Order: sequence, then C-alpha cells, then structure tokens
Amino acid sequence: MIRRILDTAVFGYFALFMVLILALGFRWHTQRKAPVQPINYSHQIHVGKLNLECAFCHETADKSYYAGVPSVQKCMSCHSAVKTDTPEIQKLTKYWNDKEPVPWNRVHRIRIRNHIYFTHKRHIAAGVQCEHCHGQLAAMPRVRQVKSMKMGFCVSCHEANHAPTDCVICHK
Amino acid sequence: MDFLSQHIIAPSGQHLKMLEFLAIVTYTIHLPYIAMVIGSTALALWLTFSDHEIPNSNFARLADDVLRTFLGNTTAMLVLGVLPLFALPILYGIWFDSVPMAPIGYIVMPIPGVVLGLVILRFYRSTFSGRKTNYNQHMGLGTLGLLILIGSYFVLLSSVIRLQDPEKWFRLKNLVILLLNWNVIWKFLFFLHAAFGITGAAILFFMFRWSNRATSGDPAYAAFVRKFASGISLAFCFALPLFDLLYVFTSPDIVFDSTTYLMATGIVFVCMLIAFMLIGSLRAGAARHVASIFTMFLIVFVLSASFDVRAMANANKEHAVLLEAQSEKKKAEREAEIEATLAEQSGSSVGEETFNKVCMQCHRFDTKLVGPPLAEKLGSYTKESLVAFILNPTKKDPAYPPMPNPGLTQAQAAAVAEYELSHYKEATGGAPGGAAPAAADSTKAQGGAH
Repeated sequence: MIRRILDTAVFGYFALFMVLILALGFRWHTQRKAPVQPINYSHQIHVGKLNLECAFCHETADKSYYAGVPSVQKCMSCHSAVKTDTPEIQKLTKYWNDKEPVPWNRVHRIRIRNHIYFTHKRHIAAGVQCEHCHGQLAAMPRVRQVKSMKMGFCVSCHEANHAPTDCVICHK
Repeated sequence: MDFLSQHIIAPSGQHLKMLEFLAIVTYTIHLPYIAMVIGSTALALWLTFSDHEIPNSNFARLADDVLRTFLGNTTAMLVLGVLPLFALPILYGIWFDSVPMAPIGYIVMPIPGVVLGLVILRFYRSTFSGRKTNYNQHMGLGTLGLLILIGSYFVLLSSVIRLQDPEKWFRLKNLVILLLNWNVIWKFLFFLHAAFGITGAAILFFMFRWSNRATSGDPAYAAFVRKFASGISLAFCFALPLFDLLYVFTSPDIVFDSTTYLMATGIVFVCMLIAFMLIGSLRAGAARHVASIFTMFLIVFVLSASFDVRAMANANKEHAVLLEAQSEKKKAEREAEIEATLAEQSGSSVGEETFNKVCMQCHRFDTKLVGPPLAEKLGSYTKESLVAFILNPTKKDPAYPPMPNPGLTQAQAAAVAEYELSHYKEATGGAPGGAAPAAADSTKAQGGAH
C-alpha cells in the first residue's frame, strides 16, 4: 500500500511538471505564436525580393501614431494586373469586389496597453529603422513579433540613444 | 569568420541546418563528459573531507574509484573534454557570420579556463595517494580545479543561451551583464543538477556493469556504492524538472515552437523513467537497469542540447532566411551569366526573353498597365541610364507606384535595356523622345512569345 502511494506520488510529481510545461506551450500557441492571416501575404516577396519601401504600404508611419495597414485599394493598384491568377490574389480580389476590408489579425501588441502612449511618427523622425522593433520582415514568410515590446526593451533603447526616459514620455 | 564563410563553405539554409546538427553532436559528446568530471570531483572532495573528519574506509575507497574512473584517462580528457570545445566558436562563428551584434566572442573566453581546470584536476587526481600527508594541497587543488571548471561553464553556457535573445544583445557590454540573467541561471542550475545525476548513474554503470572489479570482492562496499550512487542520482533527478520548467518559463517567446515544448516535456518524462528505475533498483537491493539509467541520462543531455540549439535557430530564424536568400541570389547570378553566354553563342535574344518573362508583368510598350507605357518614357533614356534604372529603380512619376527591383543581373539588365531601346527605335524610326511605337510592335510585345 505504502509502495503504491509512493509510486503515485512520484508519478504525480513528474506529471505536474509535464502538465505545467505543456500549459506554457498552450499559452504560447494561443497567444504568442505568429497569427495565421486571412491572406497569405508575404513580406519576403514584397520587401525581400521586390525591395518595396515600408512606407509604400504603411503610408501613415511617418505622419501618425499608427503605421497604418494598407487599404485593399492600395493592394489592387498593382494586383489588378499582377499575379491575378494566384489563389491568394483571388482572395484579395474577392474582398475588393465585395467592398470589404481584409480582416488582418494583429501581430504586434503591447501586453499591458493602459496609459501607454507610443507614436510611430516620432520614432521614424528620430531615424529608428523599422526592423529595430519589427525584425527582419524581408525574411519573414509570415510576420511574427520578434521583440517583447516590454518596458525594458523601450527604456534600454531610449537610454542607448540618449532619448528621454521620464515616465510621462510614455505613460500619459 | 568571413574568410571561412566566403572561401571555404558558402553559408546557406542547408549549411546552417548542418551546423545546428554538428552543434548538437558536439554538445552530446562534450557536456556529459564534463558533467561527470564536475560531479565526480565534487563527490570525491566531499568523500575525502568526510573521511578526513570521521575516518571511513568506504568513503576513501569510493573517492579513489571515482577519481580513477572519471579523471584517470588523459586521452578521454583530451578527446571528450578539450577538442570539442574548439569546434563551438567555429560553429557559432559561421552561423552568426555577418550578424554584427551577436555576442559570439564570449564563447571563446571560457576555453582557457576549461583547459586549465582539467589540467589542475589531473594534478588533483595524482595527489590522491598522498592526501593524508598533504591534505590541504590535495583538497586545495581539487577545489580550485572544480571552481575554475564550474566558472568556465557558467560563462560558456551563458554565452550560448544569450544567443537565443537577440533583443538583449546590445546590452551585453561586459561579462557581468552576460551572466546576470534568470534564464541563464536556471539553465546553469539545470546543468549542475544533471551533472550530479549522471555522475551517480555513471558510477553505477562503470562500477557494476562496465567492470565490477572494484565491487565484486566486497559485498558491503558494493552495497554502499550502490546506495550512495543511486541516492545521489535519484535526488538530483527529482530536481531537474523544476529547473527545466523555470528555464522554459524565463525563455523569450521567440525561441519556441511546438518541438521545443515537446523536448522540454520529454526531459521531464525521461527523468520520471529514470526515477522509477532507480527506485526499483533501490527496492530490489541490487544494481538493476544501470545501463538503461545511464543511457537515459545521456538522452536528457541530448534533449537539453537539442532544445538549446533549436531555440537559438528559432530566435534567429530570419537571419537564416536572409543568408539562404543571399546564397540563392549568388547561385541565380552565376546561372544567369552562364545562360547569357550560351544565348549569345547560340544567337538568341536574352533581352527579349527576360523582357517577356519579367518586365511584362507590369509594362507594355504602348499601353498603361501597373507601370507607364514604355513608349512614353524610353525617349529620355540612354542605354547606360536605363541599365542603371533597371538595376536600382526609384520612384519617378507620382501617377504610378514605385517600380520594385526586378532582381536582374548586370548582363540581363544590359540585354533588356538594349532590347527595349532597339524596339523603341525601330517603332519611332530612331527619333529620340519620339512618338508611340507602331501597332505591330505593341502587338508583338503584348503577344509575348514569338
């Protein structure tokens, strides 16, 4: 009897750790993994092979808080003629014909968003390269978040570049 | 490393995969051996100290057997302990070639420490017979060698683990910052506990299965060794899942994929099997499953090394893709040069073929598509300026989107420019900046293949 209880306890001890690691894996799979997008858009082709500038699609990055997601019209300015026979462009064309936006899934997010003020405009004006925060998009078949976007990341970069680190700069 | 990459082996995606495999093999050869050296030295020091305080012949005998088994073979020390170390900076140096901020320089730092630590431990082993007269010297040598070895592996593991977190690279300006990180600390504690675990398993394997000379004639000593080694191995085996979990918990999100989580879970599962086998062996009062227990500990090391290498590769996935793209581009350039030469020899037109294949995605001679009709624009170009534009296009006309780089080689761009200008000249009768080309020409261009 004691032997059986001991064996169960040993099994329970190791099983607990296995469950905890798998739970971390489940959290990563549901919250942190690169999201699947409604259209399999490739930065690898548009930025990596065609060398399009980021601002060509993300037009408001140097003018606004938000970098901006390109409109379907923007995509169609080329894809009304280019690669029209591929399944992904046909999906895009359907959104265009239905007069609906593409429901892209958000990739980059700040985990605790309350009271945090971030603007793309100021960072681009200061000469921060897009890949510093967003990684090598030219090599990403599917976009993923490569930087934590946590306070330590922001403060380290501000300190390294002699940018202000007062609380009120980011926390309004 | 540039020299290695450019002149000996051209880095590509496949090449990087091979380097990852070699890194796992190197760790599999090296780390279990070093773990056994660290574990056996620490146990021998403790046994010698205990024997010195309260004399016990079993303690002294086991310390001698342990040192003879794990520190007695100079060839093993050289092949398993020293040589693989020199492979690591080369492997990581090539992997992170052309990544300016990667802290690979720290990987070289602990090598002298490891070599020095192993040499001191050889001296420590040789002073065992005189420990009664020179106790302080013997213990001092062992402690010094052990501390140097542990310190060196703290630095080595830290520098390797830090490659998994590119976000923090620019902060790693000195050794203290490199070492002060929870992720690194949990990994190092995992390694130390695995070291004691595998040492216990190795004592059982080498003294009961490999050769039982040391334990065959003395049942009391054999029972002492079996209980001592099993107890040590079991105790540290129980600690491993905790450090495995903490290491996974503190690793950055970018290192993970489904395989890494399965590897981390696999480590705990193998530890559970080891624990049950050790408990069974202790209950039976005999050294059972010793080869399986030792093999399972080796599997723990393989899984741990595979996790680390895969985590490093996941965190730097884009670097691998960029290198692969560069490699493919160079290959395509070479092939294009060969094709251009062959086409020139056979009299066919590379310019026309390339124009039809690449440029016609967006351009026609006389109609607007994605880009402007070429007839409106070619008049303002010479061959040289057109080649320069094709190789490095910029936005010219606000009415059209910027032209993406078509990725042509110099030879292809020159051939396309020549084809476009000759076609334009033919259509306009040679007038610079002239009228639109003839309808026949536009039909020819739109038709594509002739």
